[in-house]
Amino acid sequence: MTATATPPIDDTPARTSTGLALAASLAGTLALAVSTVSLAFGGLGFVLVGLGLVRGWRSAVTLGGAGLFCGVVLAGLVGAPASVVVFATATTVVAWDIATFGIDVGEELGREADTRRLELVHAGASVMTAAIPAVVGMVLFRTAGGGTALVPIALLCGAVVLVVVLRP
Amino acid sequence: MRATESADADRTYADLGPNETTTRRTERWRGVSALALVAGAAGVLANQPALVVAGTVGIAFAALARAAGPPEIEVALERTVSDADPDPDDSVTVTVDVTNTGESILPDLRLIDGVPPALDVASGSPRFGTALRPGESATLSYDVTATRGNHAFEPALAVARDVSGTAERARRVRADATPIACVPSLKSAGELPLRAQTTGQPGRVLTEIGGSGVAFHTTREYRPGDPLSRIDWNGLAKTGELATVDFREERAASVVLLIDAREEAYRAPGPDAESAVERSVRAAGALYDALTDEENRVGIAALSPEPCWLAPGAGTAHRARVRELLATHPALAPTPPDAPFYPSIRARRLRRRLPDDAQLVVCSPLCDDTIVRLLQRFDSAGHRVTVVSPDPTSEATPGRRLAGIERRLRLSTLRSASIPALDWRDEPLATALARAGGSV
Repeated sequence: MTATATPPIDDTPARTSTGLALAASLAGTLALAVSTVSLAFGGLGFVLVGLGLVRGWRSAVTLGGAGLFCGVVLAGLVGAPASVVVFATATTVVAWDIATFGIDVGEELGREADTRRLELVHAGASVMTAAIPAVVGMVLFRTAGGGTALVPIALLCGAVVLVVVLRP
Repeated sequence: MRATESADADRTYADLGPNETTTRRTERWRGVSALALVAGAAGVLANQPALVVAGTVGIAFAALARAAGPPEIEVALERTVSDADPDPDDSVTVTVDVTNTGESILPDLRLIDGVPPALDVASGSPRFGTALRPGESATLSYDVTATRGNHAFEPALAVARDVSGTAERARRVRADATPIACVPSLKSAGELPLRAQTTGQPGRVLTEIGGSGVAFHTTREYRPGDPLSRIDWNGLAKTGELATVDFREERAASVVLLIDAREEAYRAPGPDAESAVERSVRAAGALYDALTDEENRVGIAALSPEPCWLAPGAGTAHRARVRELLATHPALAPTPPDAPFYPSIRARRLRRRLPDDAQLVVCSPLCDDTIVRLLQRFDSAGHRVTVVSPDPTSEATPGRRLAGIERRLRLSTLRSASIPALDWRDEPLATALARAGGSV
């Protein structure tokens, strides 16, 4: 009998997070359908995120997230609507967050462990963290009506306020 | 967005002592603000305000990660087992209740329970991930398969992270729980022929001493006072001389079952197979039962860093003590000892304790030469030795085959020193004893 303190576990990424991350990255990819190039990057990113989630490769997920992000920047450069760009950014960040979290939980706790609540809470927090600045930004963007430098200034002020408030 | 997290928390925090706390930052959001700035800069340069707005999402995550502090782990664990006194191979359900006793929310709490090292988890997982509001509890449960021994739970590892997963605090949390004590019953497996070293008490071991009995020994000249039943009447009729028949006397032996529980004896043919010590302990239990049935007095001793000694005896109380000792004595633990073993010191102490007329039945896999020398020394010092050797070798690799050959050589060394040695291969002990028959 070999006495190991930690018996081997099935360390593939956790189920709930895998599903949520795939859904988020798919949503981001679909939002990038405004131009062919951005959709191509988005599709590549989605495939990489999926591959990383199946195999538990963190670097593939990060590369996939980078692919989606490139798609977002390209979509922004070709003049996609602001709501689409912001939505795609938020889903990209959320997808990466949930995917790496799922890989993490899978490695630490294993697939047999009950981690549903942990994953759902993390996914919810992630979505909220992305949604609040996205919504606030969009509202500011709409009210400013474009043209002036009001939006960047307002966002800059918002960022400063955020840093001050959150400073430990 | 670079991930710099380590793989397994249990390995990361292997050195963390009980009730110790440590914090670290995972830096999983490192680089996100750079990406946000790239998006913002691209938006400014290309005159696309949408990208600047998009950049705020990244900034929000960066700010959250930067502000993150490790949450306080104030949790109470309560562990209950369905059966604290199971039989071997029984399934025992372990239930752990975890309660957040602190003031703040634990958004990310991971728990790895301290399963006793020698127990295997049969179903479920001793690992658990959850989020707990203050005062809230969650329950984790899993099944373990009971094996011989006294199995104490180790402190559980609790790892808590803040909501962004950046700041982490880990702590070993103790939970008072009854250890699982699994005490197998002593089951006789068959008879082991003992050496002819006996005490003065009547018993069932055939000796070379002439007297009353059943098996023929010698005839000798009649001495006045010899019982009539033993006078050789046929010889008297034939030769006219009066002679007395002596039979081999049957006496009881005093036996000490010596279990080899040094680190070297914790060998098994495969990672999931029973170790030689485990088999030795089982054999000792079976031999105790068989030998006391034949009115011998039997004691237990172990060759191990931890002293283990029970003087030869018999009776119900002694039997209960043997059963308890074989199941739960730390010297016979299912996991190898850490302390070093000094053969000469331990052997000297054992010899001092052994009754003069005691013989030894040694359960050892014979995995090194030290034990062979030790046994030869015991034998020549007047304690007759019989060896029952569970075979921990296998044929899988050349190295293992070599170990098997070395072990067989040790067996023949013992046999050529006229020490009976029973090779107990992968078979029930009763089969091995029956195969050896009357002569080991």
